[in-house]
Amino acid sequence: MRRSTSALVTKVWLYAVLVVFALPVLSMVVLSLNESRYGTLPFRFSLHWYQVLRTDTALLDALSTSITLATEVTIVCVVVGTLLTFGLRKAPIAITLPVNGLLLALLSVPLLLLSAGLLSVFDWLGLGQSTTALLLSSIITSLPFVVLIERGRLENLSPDYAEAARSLGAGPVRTFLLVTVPLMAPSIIAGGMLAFVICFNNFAIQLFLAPVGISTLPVQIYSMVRLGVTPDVNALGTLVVAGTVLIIVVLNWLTGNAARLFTTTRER
Amino acid sequence: MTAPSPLRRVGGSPRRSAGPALARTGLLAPGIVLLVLFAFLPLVALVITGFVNDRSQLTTENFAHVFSSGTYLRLLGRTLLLSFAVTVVAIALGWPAAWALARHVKPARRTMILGLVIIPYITSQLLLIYGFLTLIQAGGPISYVLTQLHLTGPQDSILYTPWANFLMLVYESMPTAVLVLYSAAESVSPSVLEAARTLGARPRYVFTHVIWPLSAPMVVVNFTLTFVQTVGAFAEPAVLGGPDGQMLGNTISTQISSGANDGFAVALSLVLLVTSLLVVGVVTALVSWTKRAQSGGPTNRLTAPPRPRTRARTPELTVARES
Repeated sequence: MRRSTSALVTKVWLYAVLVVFALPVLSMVVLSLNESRYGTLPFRFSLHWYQVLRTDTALLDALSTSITLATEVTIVCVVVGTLLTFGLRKAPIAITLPVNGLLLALLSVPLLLLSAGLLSVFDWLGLGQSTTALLLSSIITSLPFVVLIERGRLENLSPDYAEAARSLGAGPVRTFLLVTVPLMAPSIIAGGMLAFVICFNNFAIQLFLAPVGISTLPVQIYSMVRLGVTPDVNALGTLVVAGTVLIIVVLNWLTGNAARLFTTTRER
Repeated sequence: MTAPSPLRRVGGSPRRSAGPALARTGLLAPGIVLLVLFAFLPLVALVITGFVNDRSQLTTENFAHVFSSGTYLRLLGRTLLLSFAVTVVAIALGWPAAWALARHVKPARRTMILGLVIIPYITSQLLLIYGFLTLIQAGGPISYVLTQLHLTGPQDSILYTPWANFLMLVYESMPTAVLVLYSAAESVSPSVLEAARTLGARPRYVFTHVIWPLSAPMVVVNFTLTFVQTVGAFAEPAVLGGPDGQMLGNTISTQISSGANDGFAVALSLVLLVTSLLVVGVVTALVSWTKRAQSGGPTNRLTAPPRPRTRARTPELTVARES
């Protein structure tokens, strides 16, 4: 009897937590469909803010900058990260130890501090705050996620398939491209999507390394929030969250359980 | 990429390290170059910049500046204390939810709930901050409901107070707590709990002597992740915290943006990093001490958890069959 009561209480608590998780997002969704200029209730339905959003070039430019940046970063991270994952598999410890150390450092040093260090390096290189600096910094902060996810899959991959292909006469390149890569595909795609999300959301890096005059979406929202907002941010936020939900659905479909990606990534 | 040598083809096994060394260098080169240039160098740069003054001399005056000023030390103390509180509250609120998710929810529904937990986890932090702002501002949804209930006036709001910042940071830390503690809850085998109960252990005893020792490592992981992230927060206090809710991250970010005094900003950052790692170290030591104190002698080896399930096993099999 007592056990079922405690089960019920914790279960109610779980659903309460889920509701609280949804509140800021729901608030954006509701206010994006609300007439009020100041985000105040009572609720009067209107699609006005979605129409405003269509002409808000600052916000839309920021969105397209973010998407372009995240796409470029994803492509580079997937290629470099996959090569790195395979290269590390049988590398001597003199290589794996420092490389893993750096990957771990990238995950554990607060991004505020990392961006200060990156800014110094780009100043030395004569790049300063520039699109190149922004691109390279975004790549380096997304890369560890790709490697960790792909490595998880590679470690569980039986070598039998590759060995079968080799013994049937396929060379190492053909074996790699036609056997190993297809076997790795779900984790490569999942790693790429995660790289996209991490890069898209990487506010600290974008704030400190983007050149003057170029705003990514988080940076644009940051400056708008501090200067007074128009509610079309609600409309954009609603659309971005819808995109996020879509990504989660796809990740779930690819990996069986998207949450696993995040828990095992962070455990190491 | 070179053509396969006959020797390697005959050998079949790619485990021998003689041939592929060159290929491996090719695989590793781009990643290592990036890591050295943009992970290793920035960390070195941080340390160097902290110990150099504006006349490019080696010095400790940046650190002397940090430690001689009561303002910065108070801000440091407040940031550490606030982050500690945020982390502990997030763990305390997230644990029962994670426990229910692992124990009392049907597996079919679990994936959907985990999806709901991940939405705030991977949504842009700035959008969440903005959504939270719209939620709590005067006239916003919460204020509207409370006003209708005659609990507050229409202009009352916690926006621009330290509480808004605190709640936002807890909110942002909760998904991590639920996800990490969910793994912890999963690794406590139900039969162990059943055994403890059958042998007459009260719920409190079950928690302190079975659940806590088994979950402690994940709690430490959770603490480390959340605490280190929260200590570096600056957007939340800047947007929501108002004049009294600022954290050390705000000072650092202002200094970095202005570019006026890099050495000082970096010294502040290093002091923040080192002190927060100290806190993490102390908490880790304390937790492992309680774990040892509670779980007692070698008989408790029996309660060692099964290794957490590795995530990829089943999907890998299905994929392998498909291709």
